[in-house]
Amino acid sequence: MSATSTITQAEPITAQSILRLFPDIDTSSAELDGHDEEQIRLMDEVCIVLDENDKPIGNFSKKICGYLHTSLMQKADLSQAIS
Amino acid sequence: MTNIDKGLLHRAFSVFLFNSKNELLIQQRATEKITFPDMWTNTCCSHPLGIPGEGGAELAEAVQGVKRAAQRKLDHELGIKAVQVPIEDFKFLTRIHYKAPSDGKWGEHESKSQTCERKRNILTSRDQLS
Repeated sequence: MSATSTITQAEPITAQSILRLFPDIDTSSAELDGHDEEQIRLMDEVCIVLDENDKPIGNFSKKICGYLHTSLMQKADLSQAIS
Repeated sequence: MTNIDKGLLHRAFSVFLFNSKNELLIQQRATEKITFPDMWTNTCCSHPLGIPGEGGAELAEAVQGVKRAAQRKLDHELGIKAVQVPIEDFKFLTRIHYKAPSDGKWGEHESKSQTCERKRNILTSRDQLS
């Protein structure tokens, strides 16, 4: 009996790989419809994207950084609250 | 969703602002916030932006950029003016690197959990108010 497994290793984010790993996405999608205009504006602010050594390798909007996807993070954990 | 699955790392900060009585100022997030509406949290958390003065590759420069961003956000979020929280009063404590799990509503069509990863710089300061 044999088994086949696939191990997926996250590729390191570097200045060379970042554009390939994170191709730009449309920030004007309908996902934000209905939200407060000021909050939508803040989503277009550019974050500083880092490599594993804390060195800046690019700028991306908060939305591209995946900011929105944290919205249902463990709500009891206030240490992870973000603006 | 793929951005999060791959762990896009970005710079962030947390401010803990104390008064002369060693009381920590906390805030309740606005109902309009897209993330964590109405939640209570520490004084101020946000991100330095990819603009002149808030970036920096080396630690000293990066910390200075974060302090400028902290000043900007304390005014923006809480109306605390820069003169009340001088740059030199911010004390840089440490950097932490974390991933926070999320099953965010933006990914509800996916079953796997997601992570948000960020490099967070911890600052403390004492304000000039009583």
